Amino acid sequence: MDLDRVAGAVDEVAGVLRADGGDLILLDANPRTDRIHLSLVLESVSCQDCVLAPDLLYETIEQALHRHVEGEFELVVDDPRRANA
Amino acid sequence: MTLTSDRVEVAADPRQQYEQAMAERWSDGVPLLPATDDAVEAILAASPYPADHALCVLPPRNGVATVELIAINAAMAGVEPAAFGVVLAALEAMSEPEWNAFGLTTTTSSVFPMLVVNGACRDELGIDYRASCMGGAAGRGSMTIGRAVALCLRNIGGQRAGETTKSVFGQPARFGFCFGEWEERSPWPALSVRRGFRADQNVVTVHGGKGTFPLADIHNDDPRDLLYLIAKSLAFPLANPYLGNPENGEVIVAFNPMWAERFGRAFPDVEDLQRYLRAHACQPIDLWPAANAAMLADRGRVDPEGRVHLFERPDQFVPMVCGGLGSLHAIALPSFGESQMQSKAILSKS
Repeated sequence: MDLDRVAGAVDEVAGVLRADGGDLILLDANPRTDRIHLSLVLESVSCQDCVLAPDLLYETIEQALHRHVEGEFELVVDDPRRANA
Repeated sequence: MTLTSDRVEVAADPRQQYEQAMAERWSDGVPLLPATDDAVEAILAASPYPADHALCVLPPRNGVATVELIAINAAMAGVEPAAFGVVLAALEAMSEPEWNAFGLTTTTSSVFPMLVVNGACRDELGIDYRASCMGGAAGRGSMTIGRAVALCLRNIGGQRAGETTKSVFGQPARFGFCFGEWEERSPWPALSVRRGFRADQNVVTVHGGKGTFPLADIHNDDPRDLLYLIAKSLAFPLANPYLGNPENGEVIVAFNPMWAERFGRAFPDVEDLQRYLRAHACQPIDLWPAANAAMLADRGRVDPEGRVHLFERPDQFVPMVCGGLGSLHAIALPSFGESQMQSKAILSKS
């Protein structure tokens, strides 16, 4: 797992979220476990409805990662909307 | 370095080499690399033992496996010098009497040595432990180490299908079978650690496995339910432990990382998981027709509740973690029965 490529893919999606005041933080990308752990930050989002729904956002992040990262990985996204569900 | 083995002239053309290897029966049916002096000497240079060291005697014809002869077969399989220690350790493990090499190499069963590697050498040598680790991932270490062991049995031990081995069907692993444990995704100590080695050691464990037995589910997320179904699947009525001695042998149960995580939460102590598997890997005696049921009853296999357990002890269920992240799957490597898994530390030249 190329960590620079992971960071690039995360930044690609985070850029979209930042436009609405949100963010996507890379907590961990471990090449020993092939697990990528991200955290979605929504505290400063001005328009909650402007952020993709949890499932769709997850798919978008996953697709972005697949465009940049070779091989299999496990994606874990801490999405506060799921915690509150 | 002076090599003492007989020399064989081979043609420069690879296709003619292939024809010759097939005609002289060194080959397993797939092209081999020529074991040139340079290739063999490079492998021997990485050996912890001298070339003339007799490592073991390989059945069925009791061929003396010197390190040089093993290196020749390793060279033909394409083993990198750094990986030669795995081949040596695997053959040493197979030489332990409890592994029952003669029985395994001559039986009518499909059983063959299956190699599980632990330690940092997995990545260094290309031993597959992620997606398609049991075939298809194409790691050089997995493919060449397993094949070298199989070639040693063929060319040193004299194993020949239908002649010295009576295996009715054989199995794909007879071409060679070597994979690793994804220790970093295991919720439990590594297999090698559970078998008494340090976590920083490179270790190979050799299992006499009858084949690969896939298990899948998409309808139940409860770990105990899932493990119950796995246990019931392992206890299929014509499994070898129901034919013979339930005190011998082990079944490897390989979980993919996603299932392992789920099982690890329910069973943080791997021994609890093994006890659960042992408790549920059984079938009611009524499942078997009268002739089979009578045999099981005569052998005292039926417990007071009318169940017949696959194995006597929990430790005969050997969980481990490997495979891809696609979830839904486990795979069992069922036991031949009359063979006990053996592990050896992989030595390198100091």
